Amino acid sequence: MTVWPEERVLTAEEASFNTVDMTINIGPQHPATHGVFRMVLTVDGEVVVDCEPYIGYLHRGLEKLTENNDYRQAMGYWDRTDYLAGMCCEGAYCMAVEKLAGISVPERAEYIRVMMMELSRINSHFMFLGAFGADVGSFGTSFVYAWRERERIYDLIEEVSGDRMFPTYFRVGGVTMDLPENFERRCHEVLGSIRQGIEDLDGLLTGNEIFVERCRNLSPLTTERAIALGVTGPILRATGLPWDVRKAEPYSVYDRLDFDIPTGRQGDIFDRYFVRLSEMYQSARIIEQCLQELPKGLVLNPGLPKTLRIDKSECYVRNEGTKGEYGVHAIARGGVKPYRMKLRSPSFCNLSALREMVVGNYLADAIIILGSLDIVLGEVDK
Amino acid sequence: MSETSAPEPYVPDFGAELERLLPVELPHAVAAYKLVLPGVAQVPVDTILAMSRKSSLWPMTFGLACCAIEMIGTFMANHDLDRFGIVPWPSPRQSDVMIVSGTVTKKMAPAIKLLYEQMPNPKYVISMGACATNGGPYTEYDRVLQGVDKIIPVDVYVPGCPPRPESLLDGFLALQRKIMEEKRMVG
Amino acid sequence: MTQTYPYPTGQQTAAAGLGELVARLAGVETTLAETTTDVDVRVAPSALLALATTLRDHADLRFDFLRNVSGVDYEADGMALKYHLYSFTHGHALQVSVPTAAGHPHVPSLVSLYPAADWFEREASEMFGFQFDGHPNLRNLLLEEDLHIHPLLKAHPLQAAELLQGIESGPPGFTI
Repeated sequence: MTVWPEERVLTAEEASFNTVDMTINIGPQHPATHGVFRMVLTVDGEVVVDCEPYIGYLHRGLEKLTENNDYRQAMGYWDRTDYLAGMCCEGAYCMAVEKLAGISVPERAEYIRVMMMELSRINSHFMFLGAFGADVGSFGTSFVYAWRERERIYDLIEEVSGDRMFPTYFRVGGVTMDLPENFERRCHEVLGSIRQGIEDLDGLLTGNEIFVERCRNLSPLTTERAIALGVTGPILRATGLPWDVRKAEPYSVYDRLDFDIPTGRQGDIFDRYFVRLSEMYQSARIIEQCLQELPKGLVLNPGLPKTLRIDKSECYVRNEGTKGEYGVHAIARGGVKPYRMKLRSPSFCNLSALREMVVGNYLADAIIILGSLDIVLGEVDK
Repeated sequence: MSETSAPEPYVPDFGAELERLLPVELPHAVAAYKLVLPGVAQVPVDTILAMSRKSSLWPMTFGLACCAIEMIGTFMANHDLDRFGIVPWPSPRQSDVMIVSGTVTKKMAPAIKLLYEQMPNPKYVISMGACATNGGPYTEYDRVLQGVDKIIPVDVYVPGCPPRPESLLDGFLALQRKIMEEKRMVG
Repeated sequence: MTQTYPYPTGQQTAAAGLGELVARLAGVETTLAETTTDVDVRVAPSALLALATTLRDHADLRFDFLRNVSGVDYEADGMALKYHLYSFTHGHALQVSVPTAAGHPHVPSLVSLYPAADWFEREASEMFGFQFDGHPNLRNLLLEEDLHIHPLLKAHPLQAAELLQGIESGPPGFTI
């Protein structure tokens, strides 16, 4: 029988005890914190009374170093912000520079970019499934299942671009080089294996009664509260609002593609998990459409100058990153280096809502609430 | 009027940072068996101990950044490190190797020193990736420590950004060779 | 299966007529401009709280989502803060620029209107030195607690990359 913290009634004897709230430090090194993140919980028995997150252990100076490098060189830093899905971040950065300079991208390159971004999204969500399963209790099993598929996606990305995680395959004005000849066959193979992998993980986790019992009705979030806190991405979609930047403010060729946006009902942990699981099927659908509709042509804008100089210009480009709205606010003021590029990172905003979600729940649930936020510290700490 | 006064020149104040970044003190320990069995009987004992240590290196799961993802990939089924006896272990008190994978910032440095001191001897450190070697691509930012070897002693450097799982595997094999050469018999 | 969306879809370009609408309903003095992707409304720091309240509460505007707060250091031209807002009901997006005087970077805090502004303002204050009047907890977020530096100011230098290891003398750290 589950007794939620707010339903627990103290007996007369228990109420007369003198108790002291305990302070527990979790992190920065901890197998469950998904990176160098520290939180200090104040617990009354098993119930969390206060939570203070400390970030900045991976603050590496993305924005300062971007101001010090060329427009084309700086992309290497932006890959490494969301290190689980390198090419989604590259896409956002390249879009920002292209908006500043007014450079257009050939259609074939747009379709290739969309395919690579959706593959990266599937990659990141597999990591979420593995890590979240590990948080809830299947310590290694979900990880190994997830990584079997991730290695196949890495192999495919490596065939296309040469590197597994941070290919710097996108360029300002297109992509570096065209797809290899057998890409379509290989991609269909990988997509088939991905679908099987998602089903396996679905059976492993959703079919597990302990998982569902732990996750349902835990820390529900309303849409109004989510919007006020700045939360976007799968967490906002789990609250019931089907808002996705790819549909609300479409970029690249997403307005020509047909896909659904899965939503949840009450914004609890189980809904967030299930929304991400369903999104992976939609991403696979997008990739198949792109393969069918892929036009012939160039992959890089041929009219690009040798050095990219951009005069006074400003833009705020928003992408649907894997964790939410990934925004790049860019300011150019002449010269070859960007003047200011700010990253609006989804994990930073989602994490600022942690305190509200954790307070009032049990200590063990605090870990899975953190896991359900699916943060990546490269983005949070910039 | 404070709004029309000239802005003061920018003078940064770094607080107690330099004390936090001093290197860790290395232990001066000699194994008890070396005092008890000096000379001829020590050599086979050294060899057997080195062989057993290299065959069962338990790394502390210490992923900092992107290299941690490739490190996890090396532990997983495709590149399997378990066949070498390498089992990732979350607690520093029961692990042999610390794989520093990712950028070390000055904010994280005291925690790394503490974790290194918590590990019992004999311990080894693998510095994985360009950031842990010398700061990597982020070396010019002043909040980044230019290499983890500024605060703890490193045995093996694995280059790459991030290194492929095969590279990390090569790094582990190099560490095994190093252990056999008995270049680092601490305790 | 066609899915319906309870929000209007927009584009990532400056919406026509939005700037004039905001200027008419604002009640404070504003200057209009356009960036490549949004309409830009410039206000003085003292008018920011009133403008933000109108933007959030007026039925035709309803900017309920604070997306982003960026600080910018324009060196000789002072500093500025840029706020990006979005409305889920109307589907339009806006940028609000707040230039601050060179030696006096005080700006009212928007935490009372948008709880999302909490961490954004903490980050802007430690990176640039902005002071947000009315923020309940303006401590360092990404940097250590005892540091009083502002790394993203143009005056804050980078450190030199090492050329040879082991040759340097002295403790590790940053020398200015």
